[in-house]
Amino acid sequence: MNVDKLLTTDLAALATTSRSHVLPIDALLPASAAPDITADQTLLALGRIYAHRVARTVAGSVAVVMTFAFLAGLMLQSWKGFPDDFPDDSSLPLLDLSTVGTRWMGTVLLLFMLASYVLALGVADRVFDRRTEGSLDRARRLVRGIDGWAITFGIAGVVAFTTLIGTIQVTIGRDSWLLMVETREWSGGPEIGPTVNLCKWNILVITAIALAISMMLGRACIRRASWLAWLEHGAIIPLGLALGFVTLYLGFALESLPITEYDYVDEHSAPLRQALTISGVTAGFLVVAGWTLRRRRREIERGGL
Amino acid sequence: MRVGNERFRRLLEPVHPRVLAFARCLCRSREDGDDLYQEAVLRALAKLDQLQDDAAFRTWLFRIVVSVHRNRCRRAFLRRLLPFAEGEPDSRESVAIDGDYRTSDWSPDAADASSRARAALATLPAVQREAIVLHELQDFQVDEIAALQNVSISAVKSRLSRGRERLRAYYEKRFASDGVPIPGDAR
Repeated sequence: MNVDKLLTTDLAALATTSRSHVLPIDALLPASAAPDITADQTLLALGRIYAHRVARTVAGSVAVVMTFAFLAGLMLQSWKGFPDDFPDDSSLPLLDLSTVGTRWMGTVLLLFMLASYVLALGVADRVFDRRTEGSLDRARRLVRGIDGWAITFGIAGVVAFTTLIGTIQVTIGRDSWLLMVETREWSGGPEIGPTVNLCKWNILVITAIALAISMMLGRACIRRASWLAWLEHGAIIPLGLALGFVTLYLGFALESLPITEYDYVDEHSAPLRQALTISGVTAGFLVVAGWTLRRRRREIERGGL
Repeated sequence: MRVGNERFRRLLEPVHPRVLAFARCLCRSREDGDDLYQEAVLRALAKLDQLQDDAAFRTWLFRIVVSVHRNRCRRAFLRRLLPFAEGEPDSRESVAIDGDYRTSDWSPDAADASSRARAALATLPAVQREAIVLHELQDFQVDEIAALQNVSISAVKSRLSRGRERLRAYYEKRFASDGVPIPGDAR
């Protein structure tokens, strides 16, 4: 038998087998019987899960994009050159950060994230209704489809936001306009250029790494990797909180972190500051990842995913 | 909706086994085919008002199956480009579309000839697969396929010829790579 004949025989066999076990038409058409309440409740739960996953994805990506945009603005400012005097003209495109403190900056970012979260919730709700058309299978597929993105940007967004605000706060203090200058000699203060540069690079590198690790976690969730159970463990969040408190304590004790309005960074030891930054971000990451993955576990149980 | 359901059922009944078989042959597995068919049937039911002539129902339903199939292929292809595609239920469809020999469900000495044919068909691009299945498994004429795929007759002939050639090449390659003689081949 040559290949052509074998192929023809095989195709004929496929034609025969595909005609067997014909599905009943009733199984295909929407049921006209009384509605299944359990199915409706599951569909409702899946709708909520989907909407919140989409919202987390959108709000997280907004946080990541805004962090990178803010850093790009700062880098642009560095390349253009720092002003010699009080930074009246050192505005960034769209947002004049020279006059905005950390608190304001954080509030603006938070408002953007919240607004995008709420907006995405509404849109996702409508998209869910339109795309599922009452089918549980489609709903589950839709919810599973957004899983990786929600994990990635949910974690990366919060880490990017807290890193941005936290690093500036503990490095520069409340007066974030100091990011625009490389010296405080004009005010009788010390040289702060290296500290400011370190701060910028810390935020950039940490945000990029957080995004990469979050993507890895997103992929692991899609593949249902078994090691995720470690991050879902109940001890992870307390561990992260404990690490965060220890970091802050060491920061206050060893580095005199400029938390209050009138404190400025005077002394800085780069290795210790780096170690504190890494430890602080790790603490934040553990808390956020632990919380996100535990929430995902609950969603899986609730929606039967 | 109830009236629409009755009309739809009346039209669907005579063509149901044939269109279901077509959907099953297009997909990598019977379950995927059933899923594709169900989606097509639901879409057809939703758009039944747009069907003017009941006599054209068969062609219309086949066209919807083709459309749903292509949408799925397109989505699967896009998903493969995105970082979170690995675990998606229909992502393997795109692998098959691009003719990835490594992941096909090939078993050269399989007693089930249909699974061998299914694996080979899965390596064809969607348009060639549709043409081959319609022509060789569903006994459609070339002009009917042209009308269904909305292309010229010569384009259908070309798809059939290239599809058949690819299937042959696939069979030869798989048998050669696995070192298994073609059943009944004296060489």
